[in-house]
Amino acid sequence: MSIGSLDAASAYGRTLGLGNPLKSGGVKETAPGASAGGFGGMVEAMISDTSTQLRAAETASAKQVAGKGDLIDVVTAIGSAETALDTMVAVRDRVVNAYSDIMRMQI
Amino acid sequence: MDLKTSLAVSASGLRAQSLRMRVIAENLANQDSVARTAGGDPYRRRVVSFQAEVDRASGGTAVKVSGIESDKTAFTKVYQPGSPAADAQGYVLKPNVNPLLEAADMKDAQRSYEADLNAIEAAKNLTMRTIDLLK
Repeated sequence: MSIGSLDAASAYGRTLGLGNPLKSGGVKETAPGASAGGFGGMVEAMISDTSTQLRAAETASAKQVAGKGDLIDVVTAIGSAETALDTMVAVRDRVVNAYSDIMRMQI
Repeated sequence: MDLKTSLAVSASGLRAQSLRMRVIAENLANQDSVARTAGGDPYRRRVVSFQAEVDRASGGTAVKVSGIESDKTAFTKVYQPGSPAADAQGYVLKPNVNPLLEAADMKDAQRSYEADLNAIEAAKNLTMRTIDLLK
């Protein structure tokens, strides 16, 4: 998805450049560089964090089912995994919405 | 995040109170446990003591069970010459467990556990509502 937004931004920059040859490449330098590292990296970090927490919750529940775990550990692990997943989903929805808003924009 | 820390602190409270419940259950279960040998000591009531402990990673002050000590009050003496635990005079030492005291202690542990559960629920609710702001 980050490549898509990068494409959109550079296409937008190129279109701008077509209209005004003096400003050619001006948008290309700033927008794509910022979005590629920032958003992609953030999503990656969030996903890996969420999956680590989900895995911890799964391990705790498996232990509990086997009769070796602590119920309080299971509850706290599942709680923090739920929070992480909800945060990730909310941020994703927000960003996807912003992206489709930009794509729907009249050029 | 402080709400996450408060969840961890409340979880430590749950853990401490459940250990306290375990010790109360042990006391209640053993209120009639006498010595195996004649004239020996019966089961001695045990009490849990708590201690505040700062968690360096999160900065929250959690609770920790600092120890399970035995209650030093005297045993009660009952005249039961037929019992195998009776001494030369026919007296048997009974545990220093008072069921009324244990019942009150149990209610206290139950209330503390419930308070921790409510704190967890409130912190979780606030976290979820904060996330909902994004939606």
